[in-house]
Amino acid sequence: MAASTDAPTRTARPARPGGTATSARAARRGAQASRGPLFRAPAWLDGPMTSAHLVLGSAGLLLAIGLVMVFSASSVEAALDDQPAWLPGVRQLVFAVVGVGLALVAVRLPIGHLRRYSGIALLVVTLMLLAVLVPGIGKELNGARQWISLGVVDVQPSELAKLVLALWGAHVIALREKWLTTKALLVPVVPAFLLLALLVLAEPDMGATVGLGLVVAGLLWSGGLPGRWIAGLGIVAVAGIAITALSASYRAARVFSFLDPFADPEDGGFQAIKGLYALATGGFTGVGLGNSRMKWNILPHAESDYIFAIIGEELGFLGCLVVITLYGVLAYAGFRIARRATDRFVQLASAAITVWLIGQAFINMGYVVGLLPVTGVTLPLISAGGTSLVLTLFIVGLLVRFARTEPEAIEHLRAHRQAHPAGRLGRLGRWLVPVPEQAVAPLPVLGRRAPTGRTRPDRGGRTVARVRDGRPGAADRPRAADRPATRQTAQARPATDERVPRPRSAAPVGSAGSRTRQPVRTPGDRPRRPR
Amino acid sequence: MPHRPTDPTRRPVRTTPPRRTSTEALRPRRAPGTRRTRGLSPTVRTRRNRWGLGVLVVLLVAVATKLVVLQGIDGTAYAQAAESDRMRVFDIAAIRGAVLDRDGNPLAYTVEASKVVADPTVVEDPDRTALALTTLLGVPVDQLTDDLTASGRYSVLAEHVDTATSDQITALELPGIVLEDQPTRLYPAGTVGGQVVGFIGRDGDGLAGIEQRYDDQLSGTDGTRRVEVGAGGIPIPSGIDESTPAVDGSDVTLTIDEDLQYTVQQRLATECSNGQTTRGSAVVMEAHTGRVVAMATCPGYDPSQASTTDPDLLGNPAISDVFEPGSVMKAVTLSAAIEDGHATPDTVLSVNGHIPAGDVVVTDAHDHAPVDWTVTGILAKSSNVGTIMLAREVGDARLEQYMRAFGLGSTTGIELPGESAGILQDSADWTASRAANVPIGQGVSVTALQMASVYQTIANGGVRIPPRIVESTTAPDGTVTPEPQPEGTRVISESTAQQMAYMLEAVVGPGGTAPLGEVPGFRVAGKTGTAQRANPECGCYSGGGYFTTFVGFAPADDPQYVIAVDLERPNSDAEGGQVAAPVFADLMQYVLAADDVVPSGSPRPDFQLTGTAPTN
Repeated sequence: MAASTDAPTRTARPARPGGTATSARAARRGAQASRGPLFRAPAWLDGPMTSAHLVLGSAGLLLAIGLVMVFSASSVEAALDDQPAWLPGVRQLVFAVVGVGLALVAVRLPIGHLRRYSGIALLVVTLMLLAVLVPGIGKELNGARQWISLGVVDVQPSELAKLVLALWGAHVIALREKWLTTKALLVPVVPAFLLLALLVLAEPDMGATVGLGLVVAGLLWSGGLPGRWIAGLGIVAVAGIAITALSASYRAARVFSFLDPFADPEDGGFQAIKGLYALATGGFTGVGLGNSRMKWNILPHAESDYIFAIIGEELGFLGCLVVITLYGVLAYAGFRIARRATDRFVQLASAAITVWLIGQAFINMGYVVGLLPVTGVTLPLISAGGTSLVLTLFIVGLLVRFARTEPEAIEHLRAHRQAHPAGRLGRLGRWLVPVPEQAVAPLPVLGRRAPTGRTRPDRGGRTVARVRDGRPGAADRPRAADRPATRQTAQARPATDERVPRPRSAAPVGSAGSRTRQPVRTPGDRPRRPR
Repeated sequence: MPHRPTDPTRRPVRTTPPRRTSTEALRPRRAPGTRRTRGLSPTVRTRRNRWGLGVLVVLLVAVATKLVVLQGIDGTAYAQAAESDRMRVFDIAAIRGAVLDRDGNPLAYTVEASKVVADPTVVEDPDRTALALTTLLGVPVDQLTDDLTASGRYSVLAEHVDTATSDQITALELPGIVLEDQPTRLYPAGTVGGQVVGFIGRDGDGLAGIEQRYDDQLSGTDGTRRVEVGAGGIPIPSGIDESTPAVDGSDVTLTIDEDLQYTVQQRLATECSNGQTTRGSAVVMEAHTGRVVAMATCPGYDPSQASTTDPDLLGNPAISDVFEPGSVMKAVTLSAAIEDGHATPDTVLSVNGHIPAGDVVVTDAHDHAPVDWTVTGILAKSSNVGTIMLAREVGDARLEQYMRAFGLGSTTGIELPGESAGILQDSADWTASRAANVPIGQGVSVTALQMASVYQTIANGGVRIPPRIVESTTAPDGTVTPEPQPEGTRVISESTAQQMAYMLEAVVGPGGTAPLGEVPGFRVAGKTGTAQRANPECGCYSGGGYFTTFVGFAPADDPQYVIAVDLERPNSDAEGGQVAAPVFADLMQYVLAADDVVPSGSPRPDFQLTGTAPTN
């Protein structure tokens, strides 16, 4: 937004002849004023679909790298364990396929329903987190009761909790946007987080707790938690760390052993040292794909927690840099969505999800390289692990979904659909990835059945998003004829005339088509009665 | 942004709300429609997004920076530590060289074998493991179970397991059972040549015989294998796998003939089992080269059983044990007398039955009235008195000189450890009785090899060639390095040697002391010896029995082989001509036949044993 508004003023001004000191200073000020933000995205990053493409590209590459590296890191251990060498790799591939399927589902999820059901989902997840603590239901592994066994697969409710917290938190904060005080920002979200964190800690699952914390941090940050609160929390955190460090207890020694893993090479620092060894062995270009030495049962959890070390060993610094860069791209894409979306929920949710994913990646890579204490946080999209991968891919699908609700994206997609009515996949493609109807999704009402016998189906009695088209206050709803085609109206259309293009709305979406390019105003999330 | 203060969307400055009392708790906080805020302004939202992204990017950059340190700056040190962490070094045992006879038949060689070792901390089921191994290893189950449950991480189950068995054990894939290289030394000939070949200890070092003397050449150099392993010691295929190959040991080829050695030992064994002979040695030597083709002492030992053999037997008495040679020494005395011109074979001496020497009187074997014997007769009849008379003409110092020239009193330098030099006193220290005893082989000690060497000198025309037993060494690459052959030294002139050979023939002739030493078809020259054996109980000669010896060569007209036989008979008074000469004859017959030596073309000359002594 800022980039586009400033664009015309970027042209160099003609230098004044015979410049005096005053005029030079004025010119400098003027140049300074017109310089705009520190980082400006290049023009090729300014397309309407760039967010979706960046998410798909970076996540897809990370997934591909992850599948290859999981196969590489796990095959030796599997073979030494008298299993087929490809078994863990294929298992991961199956999870990836399931995850991609879920991502396709996520791409076409109606955001309004997503929001509506998030509260129920929070309840369900809380119950699941409670259930997992029950010995009969929860499956214990490595001293932690984290899994619910569903026969074929084990589900990790703590992974689900992070996603649900992100969606529900974004929904709650978006609902209160207009009346938001600091207290209102904190109260339902933070207690819910504390409850979930307590349940997750009881498993115990330190990694998931950190993940929940990251989600809440993303929500509060983009929800607008005042700077002094953030500073206060930061001071409290630093003080806590300092007190723990100075207390010199046994637990503190364990936590801070990452600073010098060689002090305890046999027990506490064993894994950390082997990870450092793996990275160092890789050097700049790595020892080559599949040539890792550390995966020969030397480095514990080589295919999950410490897969970044194997990447560093086999693909070297270059490979690590690619992975880090891809996470950077994903971060950029996530915040790009948060910046460009007009729906407050989308803004919050994508920011929270991005902070969570990238923060988790940083924590994982951070402890592998020895910057952080070792926690069981996995590397998103790369580490082996069923629930985590499936859920992360679902989240990637959600991000794509969010990216497609950017007003410019909707406009572009509509234009594209109009230009290419059939498309490559035809109706299947449209069904798989429909064009979002509104930049700001309305909230459906739960539990009310639509009355039958009406020609125009009642859509919950709620209004669709209305956006200004440049005239302040002219919040005219698009006429029914101009309204984008929906599933409901599709029923009314004659079934024989499949090839007739659907009526398309010429109404601008958001302010993207307006010449003045004023900031997008959302009409508020409170549903209104139709007039 | 500069427009911020005028931005209408900015949240208004918050004013302190009016304090509510408890009674107002149920009142709405503000009147309807009086919103306090209109949400987060786009400016703040943009800034938050930008800062959020910035923080994440900074975190990722921190990881990348740490990676630069880890993989670039500190990388080498860590990588080396990691490599040495994974590196294992294994020894590759060099195969010890073989010991071969002169025809290349192995007397000792090494085969690959394994030591079966268990790591009791890894063994999963000791009982089942023990059952699986008991028949393969031939170890009782109880003992295996004990070994498999022993404390510690290293428990030897069996040693010297052959490759077929070790392959079977490998196929069982038992956890915790490890095979270690343990090359095993085999002695296929058993006791044959055992004293010459020697044996090795548990650590593979040669402890006796050729094994000890040629340990450096035989043992070779062990190699090493440096290999990167994963957990559990599994080699990593893509890792470092460097080997310094082992350099196998060289083969040592002896001058020994295995067949002949076998025959010699058989003949000696027969002698040792007759109840009289407690120890018997024989040395067979080539007359012109000084090479020992057989050397044995009964009783011998089997090198493969060395660890369980009486340590007193683990020697080579033919070179390490000394005895008083007795009359065989007379050849030296007479050689000196003839070489110095004091006598010829036909010189006639009037020999009394006894002769005073200092405080003792030396007699012949049987006292007799004075007889006129030629020098040949003195030798054939083995007259002590006649020999002493000639020795007195030679003189003590000159006699000692000749004895030392014949190699007595010093080691021969044969390539075997533990060789004795014998005992030969300085002539200046000889008492009168010692001076009379030494010429007839008492009061002087020699080894069987030394005695054979003396007669080799005579058989070789007076040129003594120090005896040798190693022919050559063969490196693993096939390079043959012959052992340096020692230079011969002339001790007596050729004519003296010929005269001695002529006279020695008379010993086995009619009237000689050893008609039993004859070999049909060949002319044999030799000399008997019967020396009193010092009684170890009292340190005197009484009751000590005798060393009976016979040393000789054949054919006398063209000597090919020298054989020395020496039998220790503590409880018998039989003479050398009666017990040692037959052994000599049997061995000589075999040697000559085996070597296809042409029988003598001329008959033995008739000897003039008596004559008319010049009266003076």
